[in-house]
Amino acid sequence: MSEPIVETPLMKQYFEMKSKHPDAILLFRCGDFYETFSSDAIEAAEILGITLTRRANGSAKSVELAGFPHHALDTYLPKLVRAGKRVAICDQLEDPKLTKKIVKRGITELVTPGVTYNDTILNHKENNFLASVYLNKNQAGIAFLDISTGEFLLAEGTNEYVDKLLNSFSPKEIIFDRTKKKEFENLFGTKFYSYPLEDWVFTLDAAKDRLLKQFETKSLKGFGVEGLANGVIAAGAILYYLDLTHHQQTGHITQLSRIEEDRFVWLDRFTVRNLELFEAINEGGKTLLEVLDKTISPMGSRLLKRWMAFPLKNVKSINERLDVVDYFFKHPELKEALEQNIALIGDLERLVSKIAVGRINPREVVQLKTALKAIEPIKQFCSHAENITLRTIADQLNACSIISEKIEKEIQNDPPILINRGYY
Amino acid sequence: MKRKFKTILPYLSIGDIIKRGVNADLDELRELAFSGKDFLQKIQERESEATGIPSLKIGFNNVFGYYLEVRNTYKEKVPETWIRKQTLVNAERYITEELKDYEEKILGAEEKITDIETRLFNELVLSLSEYIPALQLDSNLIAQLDCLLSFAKVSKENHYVRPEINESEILEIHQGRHPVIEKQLPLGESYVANDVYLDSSGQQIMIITGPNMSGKSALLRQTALITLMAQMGCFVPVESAKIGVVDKIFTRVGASDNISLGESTFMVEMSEAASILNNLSSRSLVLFDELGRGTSTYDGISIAWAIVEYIHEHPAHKAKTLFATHYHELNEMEKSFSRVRNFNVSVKEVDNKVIFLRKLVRGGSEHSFGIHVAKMAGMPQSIVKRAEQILKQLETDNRQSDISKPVDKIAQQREGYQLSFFQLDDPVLEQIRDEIKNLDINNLTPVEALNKLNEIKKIILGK
Repeated sequence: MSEPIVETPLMKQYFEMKSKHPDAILLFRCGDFYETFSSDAIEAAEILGITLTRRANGSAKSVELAGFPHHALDTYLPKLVRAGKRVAICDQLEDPKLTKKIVKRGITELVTPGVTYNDTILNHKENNFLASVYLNKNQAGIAFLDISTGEFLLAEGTNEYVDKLLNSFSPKEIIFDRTKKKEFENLFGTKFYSYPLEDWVFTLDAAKDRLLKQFETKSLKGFGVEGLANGVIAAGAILYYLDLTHHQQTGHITQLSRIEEDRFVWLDRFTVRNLELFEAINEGGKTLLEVLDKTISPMGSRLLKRWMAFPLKNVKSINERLDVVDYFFKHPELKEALEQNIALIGDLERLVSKIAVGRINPREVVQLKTALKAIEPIKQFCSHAENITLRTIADQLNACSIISEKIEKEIQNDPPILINRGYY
Repeated sequence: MKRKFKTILPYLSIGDIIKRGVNADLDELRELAFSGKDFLQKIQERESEATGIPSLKIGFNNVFGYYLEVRNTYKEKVPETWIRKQTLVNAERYITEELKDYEEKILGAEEKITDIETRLFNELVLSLSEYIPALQLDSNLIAQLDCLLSFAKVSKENHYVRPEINESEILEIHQGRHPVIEKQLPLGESYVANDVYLDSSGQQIMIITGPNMSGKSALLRQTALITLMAQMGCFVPVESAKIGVVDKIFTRVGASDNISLGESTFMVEMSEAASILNNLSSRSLVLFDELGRGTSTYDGISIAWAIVEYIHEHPAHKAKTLFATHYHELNEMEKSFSRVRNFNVSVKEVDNKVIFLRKLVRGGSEHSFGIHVAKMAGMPQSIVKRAEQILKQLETDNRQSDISKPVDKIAQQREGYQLSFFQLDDPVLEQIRDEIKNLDINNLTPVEALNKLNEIKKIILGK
């Protein structure tokens, strides 16, 4: 911005917003459009293939401008995020008809590769993890959060162990302490999308406070993570980051669990690569995952990946799984019945998260009803199985009939997707 | 917010979210909005008759609401009381007092409908949020069922068998297959299954020799994959399998990939191997595929030898190991290390051509058959012929100048096996001998050993 841009009230407001997230592309809502200005506009025009124009701002001054209609956000936002950009969305916070002055605006979300609910960015077959790494001499703490499912995990150990976990979970973004950038890159390379935060974010007291507030508990003992200071610091930093990116509605993050390394087979990254579990080494090669994944639901597909990255060591637990597989093998009619019903459920896990963040639309509410109604027979079938694991699952399944009845009673069966939902 | 709604939805679909009978006010407003629709219809019919314009239409847009549209053909028939709002290429749009009145009523009703629906919907979502933990548990349980169903499905389709899992340290795979490769074979060809047996007391290390392309790598990987699948809780591609749980699986492949990153392949190989040796446990399953490929033959053999020896002699952990190599010199190890066994992937040489049987059999192998592979790959005939000559030459020469013989000796006198590799008339070699002599093997960590080896290599290279 070599030449000063004339400060119309609008541009003044724009720069005020932009200064809050200077490293993000700011989508600035103006009426029915999201606009980008100045260097953002040049970048956005290139990535999105939209027209770059100039807006005259007073005499002889102009500013680059590129924009798209607000309803096309779902089309353009993923492109920006996939291009590795952070995108701040600035919306109009009041009805323009009700104000005489310039309409009030505010940033409603900062979308980054690791933090998003947007269905068009998420791949339903995999988790979208944000990782946080805290390096402390030879020990390191690490935490993972998938905000689209609410799953929140932590661990700590040697740098090697953390490296292994990073490779097993393949997070879409990693946050770390700015002052340890060199160390971080030496250890884990630069292949992950990473974002540095100030060092004061990574302190134990601040982290604990944030976690206790999130879970509304007095201590972290219930989660079995009390003694893992490094991991707790990493987890706390994740909550800080959610705040920073305007993701305040986190009612679906109800648990923090420790990744219990001693329960699982150790597979380091060379082994995972050599065995071609998830990715083929040669182009066009097939992976073990492709052979084994015949799951029906998106959450099943995500869990299968996890099971493959973390095989069990305990004979009893392994046999429990084998018993169930055996049982299905011998009772194909049960298998078929379950498959049919699971096919109706859809991505229940991400629907639930959408409830928590208030972004569920009427059609998704109806999908929730369909899912719950499919759970009823699943529970029935499993409860009659002569297999203890299946019966336990039946006991725990909750068809939440109160909800499904309520939805049935109140919501049309084929409602429009949109209620008064713009993006926010 | 309300504005947005209107621009997104066509006006008549408003009121389709909440069912009838939920809220009395809502139902009443809907009645109004819908009767409005009928009323508009009537206005259109009436005006059409009054003015004699047969193609009169009623429409709606965001800018000026409801309007009457008249084709240009009938322009003259428009009464004066109508107010012209827009001119199109072949039509004009008008509004009337009556329309405006009605518009206000309908839009007012629609706005209220939206308000009520939004409120009711938000209340519903809020009540749903109380069930989040239960729903999260549900989705986790469904995911588990889904995975197990998936296992059952692939197991059936691919003829997998339930493995026996136990606490022993024995890995016994009878007629195992590679789960991925067997799916990719051309029609009519079936995968050659193999047996693998490893334990900590008898057969801890299998040294597998065989020519390139004979299926050594596939055999190694299938052993790891079968173990891994079993411990995921899936059936496995075998005739039968008994698997004493494994707690770590290590796989290392002789470097060939990282070249593009500019790292020395040898260095990469060694650092990867070092990380295994530092992390061994009794329940580890270790697979080395062509380790030492990234360096010269002698370096390669000696490193491979040292590593196998280390794993064999490890005081605490007898890690189960498969070691695929084309250095048939390593076959000598069987003689002096009690838990090392030689195997080879069999090939048949018929009329100077190689047939891959892909069957694992006991015993070492003699050649690498590399030249035959070159032939199969379409190398010019003249080169293949010349290579065969050179090989013959080298093999006879080596017998005379004792390249294979020292290996015998190495096996006999373990302490100083490195020495016999060299003719000790070279000062560099003497220096190396001293280096090795002064080593305290018992107090050496594997990494140190590898570093030392690297130093020795530097001496040889004269750096």
